[in-house]
Amino acid sequence: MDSTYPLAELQKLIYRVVTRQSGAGEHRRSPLPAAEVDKIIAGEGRLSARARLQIYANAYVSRLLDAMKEDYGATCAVLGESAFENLVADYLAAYPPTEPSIMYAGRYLPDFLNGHSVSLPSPFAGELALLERTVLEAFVGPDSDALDPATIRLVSPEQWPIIPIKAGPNVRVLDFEWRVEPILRAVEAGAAWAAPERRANSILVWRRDLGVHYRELEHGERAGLALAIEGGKFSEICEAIAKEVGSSEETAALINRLFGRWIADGVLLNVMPDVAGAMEG
Amino acid sequence: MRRTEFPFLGFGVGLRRPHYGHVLESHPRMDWFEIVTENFMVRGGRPLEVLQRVREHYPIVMHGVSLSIGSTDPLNRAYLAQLKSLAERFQPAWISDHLCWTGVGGRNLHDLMPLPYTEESVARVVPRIREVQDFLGCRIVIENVSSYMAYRDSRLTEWEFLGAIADQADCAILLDVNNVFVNAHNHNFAAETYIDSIPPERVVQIHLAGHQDHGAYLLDTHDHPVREEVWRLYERAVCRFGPVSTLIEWDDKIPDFSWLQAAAEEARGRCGPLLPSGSDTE
Repeated sequence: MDSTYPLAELQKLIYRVVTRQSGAGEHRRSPLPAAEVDKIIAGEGRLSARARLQIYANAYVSRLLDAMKEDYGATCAVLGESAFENLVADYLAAYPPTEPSIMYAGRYLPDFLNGHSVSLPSPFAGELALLERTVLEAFVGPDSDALDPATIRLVSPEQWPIIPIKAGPNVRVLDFEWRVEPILRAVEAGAAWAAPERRANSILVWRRDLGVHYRELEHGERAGLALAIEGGKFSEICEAIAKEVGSSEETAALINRLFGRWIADGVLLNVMPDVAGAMEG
Repeated sequence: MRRTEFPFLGFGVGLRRPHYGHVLESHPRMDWFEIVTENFMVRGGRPLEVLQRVREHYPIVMHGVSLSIGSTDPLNRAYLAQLKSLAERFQPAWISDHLCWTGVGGRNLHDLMPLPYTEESVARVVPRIREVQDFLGCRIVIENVSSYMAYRDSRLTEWEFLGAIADQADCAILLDVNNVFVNAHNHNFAAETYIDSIPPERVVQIHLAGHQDHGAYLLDTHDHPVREEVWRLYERAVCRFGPVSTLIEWDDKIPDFSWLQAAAEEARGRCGPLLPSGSDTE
């Protein structure tokens, strides 16, 4: 006997019905083909066909909501559970998951949040979500060797200007309107959080070994780090710092201190093999 | 396929994040661990570091949730490449996933959706399993899923379906005994019949887990201890299949590691008396 539906059509119908009945997902506003459901799914005394599909519908949204609460714990705390759930339902309609790993289901949430009504009382929430996402991605980003002081001591003063400087693969600089970094620290510590100050700031996120760190950039770091993320020569990065702060007697000391801080924090990549190449070049 | 291709690993538990510290620091007694493959499909960082250190001390099995072998979408080549790369690095005893579909049309439900038990489904799934096995260079192990719906078009029983696919694809079976119990309740069949009908030479691993009772249906939640009725079903399976690598699954509201250890030891204890003397359960 031929099937009611070929397998491909059956799966597409089940997908549509499950996401529709979940109240989330891209098909949540499409008409429910109830008669079609009864033709394909067996329902009996204890549970109707629709009730059986509702089990999957409930699981769909609850599983994804749990994953996103874990990924965006601080954002959820700021928005409140109910608003966060509404946000996720709308998000799943706009961005149904496509990747095998559930870790990527929420990757577009920060941008989506910025344009969503739940952020109206908390206009900083999108930036907070972006900070959380960046920290998460750094946590599972590529491994690398950080440039360490012992390696730097091998470089003679004459070689310094041309040595390549590169930030580690998980280094990111985020430019924000709101000071959301203290909120994330407070939530991570289980402490109360306060509404953020509205002041332009840049946040550095990086991973050293297995730990992810983040902090606000100090004056003079932004241009230099942006160039280090792309990759540049030491002299070029010094020029970028000097251009940001202006040349003065303190500029050289600042450059020295910033590089020292970046090396101590493990922000820069060990590119000593490239240094050898640069020397030969 | 010979069952001896799959070594008897003993009694293991799922490797879960709340227990990473304890496992790495204390090296507790455990025959083996099963990982959720997708949790380690990352580019670097702590998950892979943890897995590397666990692997140095214990055998592992890679258990995936996204192969979607029953989907009508094409096989995900990028996913298969990642799977193969992870297996080459960490050398699991075997690779397993579920007899189900998880999405269609490029979308992922992140759930293990059952298939209609039809010849069309068998014809769809068997070549896909063979292709995956050819790509990975090894036999894979396919698990029966829990389910809450049955298709009117089904013409085979679930156990006939599973057996036919395993035989035709020449793959192995991970028999989730809790899922058998859950499905027997949800779809009105005798769990014992299921156990008695699976080709024994194909079963290389057993899962044991807990579930929630919602009255009209049982929900496979992996957040409760194994129920006594499931233990008895397990004993029936052991009597029929002989010693089979057994894993305790606990995925939510995860208790202290000692609870899982105790459950693994209970499985070992229940297994021992059922087998002929000289059978390996230690």
